[in-house]
Amino acid sequence: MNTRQHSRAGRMILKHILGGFFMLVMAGLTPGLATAQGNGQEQIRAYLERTEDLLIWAKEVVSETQSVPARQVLSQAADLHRRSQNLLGNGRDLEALGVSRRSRAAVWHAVRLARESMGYEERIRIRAERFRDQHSQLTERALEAGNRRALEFLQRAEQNANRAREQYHQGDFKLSWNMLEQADDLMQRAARLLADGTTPERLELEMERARMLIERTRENLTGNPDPLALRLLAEAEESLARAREGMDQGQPGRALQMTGLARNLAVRAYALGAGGPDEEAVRRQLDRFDERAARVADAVRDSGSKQARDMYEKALGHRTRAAEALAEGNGEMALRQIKAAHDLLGQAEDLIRR
Amino acid sequence: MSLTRIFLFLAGGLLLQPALGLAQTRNIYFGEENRSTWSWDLATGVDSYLHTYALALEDTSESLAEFMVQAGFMGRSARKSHHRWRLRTEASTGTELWRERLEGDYSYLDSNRQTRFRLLGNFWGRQYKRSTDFVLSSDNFEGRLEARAYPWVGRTAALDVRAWGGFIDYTTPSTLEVDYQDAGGGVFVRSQSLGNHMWGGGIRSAQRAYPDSSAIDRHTWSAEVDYDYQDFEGQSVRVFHKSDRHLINDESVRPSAWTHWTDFHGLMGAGSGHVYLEVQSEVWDYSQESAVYFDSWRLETALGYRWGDILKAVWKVGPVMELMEAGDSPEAYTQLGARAGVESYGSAVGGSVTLEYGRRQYSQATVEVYEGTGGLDETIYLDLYSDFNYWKIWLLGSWRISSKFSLDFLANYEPENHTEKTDDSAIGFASLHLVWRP
Repeated sequence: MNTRQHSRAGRMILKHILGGFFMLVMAGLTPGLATAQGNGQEQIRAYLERTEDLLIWAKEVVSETQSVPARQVLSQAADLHRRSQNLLGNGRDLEALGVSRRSRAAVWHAVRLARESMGYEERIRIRAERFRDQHSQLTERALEAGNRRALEFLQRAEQNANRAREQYHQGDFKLSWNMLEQADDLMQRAARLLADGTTPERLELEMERARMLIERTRENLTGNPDPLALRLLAEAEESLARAREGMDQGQPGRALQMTGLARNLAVRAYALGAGGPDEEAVRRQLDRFDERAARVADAVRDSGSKQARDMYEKALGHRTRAAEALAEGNGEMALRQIKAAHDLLGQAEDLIRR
Repeated sequence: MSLTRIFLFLAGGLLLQPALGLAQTRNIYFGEENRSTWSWDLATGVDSYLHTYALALEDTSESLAEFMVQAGFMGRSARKSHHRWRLRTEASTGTELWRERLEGDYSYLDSNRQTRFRLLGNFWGRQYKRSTDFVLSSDNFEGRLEARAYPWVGRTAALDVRAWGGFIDYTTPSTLEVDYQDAGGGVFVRSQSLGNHMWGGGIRSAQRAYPDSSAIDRHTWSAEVDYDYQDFEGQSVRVFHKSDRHLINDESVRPSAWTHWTDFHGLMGAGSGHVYLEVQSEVWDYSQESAVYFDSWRLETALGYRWGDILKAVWKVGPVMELMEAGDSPEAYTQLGARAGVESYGSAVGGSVTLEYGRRQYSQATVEVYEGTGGLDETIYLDLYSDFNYWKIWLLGSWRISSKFSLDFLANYEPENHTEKTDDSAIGFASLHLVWRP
């Protein structure tokens, strides 16, 4: 028997189960039964016995799932059934029948909750796995980019996923699903921030950094550069131009997005071209640093920020070591030192702009 | 006892810093390039849960509000380090339970700054208070550890080999609080691109064992692919597909099944904004159906228009649809609605509001039952499920009160108004936390 045949057979089983269940229910709902006085008590007793059978069946169904609401409803169904038995024992037949009907309604409600919860239970498991994979990828990207806002969103997403996990353990799958969806929503916002680049207050700074990164990358791609790196660099420049258009047109969000893309493309181009820096490229970086340092020296001194001055001094130290490494013919070390010098100078600029 | 635990946690964190020669900076995210950085955060707030549904004896409104205080301690390596790590520990006390959490992430980067090895760990401890309102209250300890190796890293892609293990251990296991142990492995290929195309795919195999209920032990084989693209115009496509084969130890207890899960998100430029399309498809195909396990296909779609600038306000509006096909099962339904929302990432106050209103109609919830016994000869129709109108209200917000304080808010509320009043239900969650990041 193939899978599809199994499914059909399963549907038939379900239909028979439900059909049997409703036959039992309807036997109790027929008006004639309630009004019977002669053999009425026997019929009501039979009705209650069937209710007990249904409770046993429903317990098997509910026990397949971890649903707490289904168990609570089923527990009340059992309470009602016990109450109906007591009423019958006290000769209050019609009341017993009414309570037993309510017990059966609760039985069905519990079965329905169990079926619904089963869908959520498995769905949550798949979604949680996907969430975990995406979250670890995005966290790595956010840390690499130093994007504080994205990391905060990721942290909040994880907190909500943890709450969803607790609700899952509590057997409330629908609530757990909703919370996991909201965690996913928070994570997608982080993803969008990472794609867009940065936070609004740093837009101009980020555009400047992207421009410098593109320049440094271009300077690094000398000799016989990788065609892919050149193409990526061209795309980065195009993206930065679009960022400027966005700024001019009063669309800062779009400008951010384009700036972030420009930076990502330039980083990739830089990585492709990072294999062999030649002496000339490092010298250009040194010259470029000297220009920048001279431009910001006064501002750093006047800012009164000790932290900015320290950054500036450290940058100069790295610049000196870069020149020494270059003189010793260690191009790789020279490039690393001058990169560190540029980065520190950038941080000093950042501090005095705040 | 519990206060002692929190005190030891905080004191331990403080003592750890000088012991490791670590520097504390004001801001961990933009910290030193060449030094490890550590930071603290403290949060206090309320989490509130609501679930209203009909019980047999009365309607119930299960609401639970938990006030809590949480301390977090987080460190990360220098960004330029070849041994990159991140560690976060949390401890909290609430009106319902104590929680502890330890999260770690270590990566080894080679001389080309490519990740060659990664270790991820997450551990949770939960101890319920005697007065807790949670229904299930067995203390538990849960954990997961995953190792990833990248034996081959090319210019455009990398091979990712993973192995993981996990567990949950209850102090007092029961039928609803079941211990389990996970183990698995997988092989993936993922793009190295930082540009506008990203893709990945792989296969994984996972085993879950229930020590107290081995009949439901399961083995899952999965294959998955994903693709992400974004162009210069803000247009994007994101696709994810995963197929699973679940093999259950004892099929007479729980049937094996195939599942196929697909997500699609697309944004296409139109006028000054974008048309968006989101589709989620979920297929379950059991080897044998039962009263609980039934074949189904659920399709959820949202189509609409999105416009505005993210730093000011982005608006979106459009119809949503959900379709459930379930063969002869009474669960089959069609749901139609309209969704509208606004979001903004302004510098001080940011957040989003999303509203959805719609109706779900069950296509075969009415079951025909032939009653042919006891002298009664009639056909009866019963509604197993009742149609309903619903609201979905989602709120998300954050207010940066100062550079050190922020107020985070999160809420969702989903009431259902059924044609059969006893089926009415509502579900909701709200969280308000004041966070201090010194």
